[in-house]
Amino acid sequence: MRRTQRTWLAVSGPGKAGRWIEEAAAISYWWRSRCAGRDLAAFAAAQTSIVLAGTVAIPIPTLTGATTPTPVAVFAPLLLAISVATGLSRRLGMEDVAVRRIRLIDSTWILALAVAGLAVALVASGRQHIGIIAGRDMAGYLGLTMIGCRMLGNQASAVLPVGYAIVSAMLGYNSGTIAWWAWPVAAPGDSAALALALGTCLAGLVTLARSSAARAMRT
Amino acid sequence: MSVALARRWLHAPARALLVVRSAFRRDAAMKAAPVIGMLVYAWATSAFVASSVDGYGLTASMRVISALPFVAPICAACSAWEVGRLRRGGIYDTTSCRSGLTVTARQIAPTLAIGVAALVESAVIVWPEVATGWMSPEPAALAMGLAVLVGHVAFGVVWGRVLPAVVAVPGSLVVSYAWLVYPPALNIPWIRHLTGFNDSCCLNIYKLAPGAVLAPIVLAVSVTAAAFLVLSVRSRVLAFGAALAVFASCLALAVSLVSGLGFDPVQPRTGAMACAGSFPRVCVWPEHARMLPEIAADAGQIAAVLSHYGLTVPQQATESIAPRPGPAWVFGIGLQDSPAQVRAQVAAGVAPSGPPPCAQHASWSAANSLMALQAWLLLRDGLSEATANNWVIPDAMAIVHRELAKPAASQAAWFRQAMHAATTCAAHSGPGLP
Repeated sequence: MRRTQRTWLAVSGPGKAGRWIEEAAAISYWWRSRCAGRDLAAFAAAQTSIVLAGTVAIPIPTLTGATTPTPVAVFAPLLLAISVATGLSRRLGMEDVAVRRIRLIDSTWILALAVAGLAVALVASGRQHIGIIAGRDMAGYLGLTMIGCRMLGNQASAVLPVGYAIVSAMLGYNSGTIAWWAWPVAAPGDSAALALALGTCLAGLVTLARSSAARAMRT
Repeated sequence: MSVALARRWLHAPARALLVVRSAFRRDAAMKAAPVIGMLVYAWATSAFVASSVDGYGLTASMRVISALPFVAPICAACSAWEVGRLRRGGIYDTTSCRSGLTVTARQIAPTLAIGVAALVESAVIVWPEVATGWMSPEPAALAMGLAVLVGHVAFGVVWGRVLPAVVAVPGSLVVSYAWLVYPPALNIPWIRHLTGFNDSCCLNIYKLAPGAVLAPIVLAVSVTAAAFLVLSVRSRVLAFGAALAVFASCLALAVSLVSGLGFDPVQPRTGAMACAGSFPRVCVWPEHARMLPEIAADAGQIAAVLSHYGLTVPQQATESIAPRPGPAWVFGIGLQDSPAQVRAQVAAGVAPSGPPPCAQHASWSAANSLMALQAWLLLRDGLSEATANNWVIPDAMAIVHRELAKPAASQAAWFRQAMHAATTCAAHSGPGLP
């Protein structure tokens, strides 16, 4: 048992205050084990690059031969997805049988990041359409990361959002229209894309809340 | 043959099957191979790749390696994954009978093989689509493509060695992809020539500038050397310091090779041409050789027109834009051009195709004269007015109609004056000149 833990337990004692202190200690351990501070740094870096890049677009060659400019805001949120994937890769098998609902804490944290991403991107970008793209994609990528944990395992989970973003940019454009499934590169006013991204995020949260850390370690 | 040897031979296929099955089960590249194969197929069969190749080996070779953005990033991610597996297994931190370099090389060999197979797939699909007979590939372009692929795989190795797989795999995928597709978005002309990806190169009057071939190779070699150092030098500080020094010096060298190039890394094409006739001597690129008799007849016809008017006939009509002494007669044709288009190109080629070099520094205002010259040549060659109208603006046609009504000597004088105006930057005035 680490010294800090002993101290927390010593000062907590019985009663409501003691339980709160224990909970705070547990959250503190969770925070450190997931390196959640790095998530905040990645969040800030993604938002900063979205604001700095503004409407700058990357002309990506598509399989139709045309070169389609894709905003930087489509790719910047991947920073956060990779950081969250790194945190989730530090899960331990014994968490499956822990008293505290660690999977719930993970899901809540990622949901908070997604909501904050949408809010901050809308406010800070100063360009509403870029903000909607960034916020929508951030939520969708986080969902894909959580699904990736289940499908590909802890170590390769971030490949799913990164690969999906690149494939959407390469295959999503088809003679002036955007395929229904390519929500990362969809127009900001596309409500179906927004619904798909949010649905992906929700599916990811459910997957994570029901997933087994031990199994994800083995994959 | 002893029983043991016979048994060994009998078991060889089973052992090979086991190795292949094991590779398919454990290797990331084997799992990614179907995805790479489908992406390359979709790209290589797209209409864009087969367009505008015009039987030119360099263009076809560049189209073959234009599949790199769909191959190299995935290979980089796969190699990062494989090296990440070794890293997680503590292979680099334990004492082993084989060096880390050897173990890594064996581990990433399937990744490299899949990447090369993808480029071969691209070549097998693209070549029959664009070839119109024998078309020799450009070895320098293909070598550049291979070097870039190796460089990206080595890049993945460095990421996998340095970072946990969870970051290294997506990170190398994104950075490798961005490195290939982002530089063309920048307004800095030379930076795009460092990547080795150029899907719009080249018209058959150009060849790749040596710097544009060498720079991506130098960078790929530097990344491979950096991976070598990171894997083989025990001291991390020393390894990274040396890797960084190698990469920085090679980057400086690569930048110096391409810094003088514009948006298109090309220079006038040189080399053997197919020629016919003596006056004028008509020369075309080898891929257009089968059109030579037709072109020579067209050139003879316009030469007769020029002689009739007492005008100088250039000695050589050629597709090459390489500078040469004497009046130039340069035309450009394509394999898909109709006979009328070829005839028009050859006739209009007597006049310059654009402003003279001095126009970059001084004022040049003979655009109408230039177009009028071209229209005059087309009409005098017997082509229809509709064809001439496709080449020039109405103002130039008005000048030509005015001149055509005059006697032959007057038309010849106008032609010489307009030709002088179109090829120099001095101020001009005269009949029919702007």
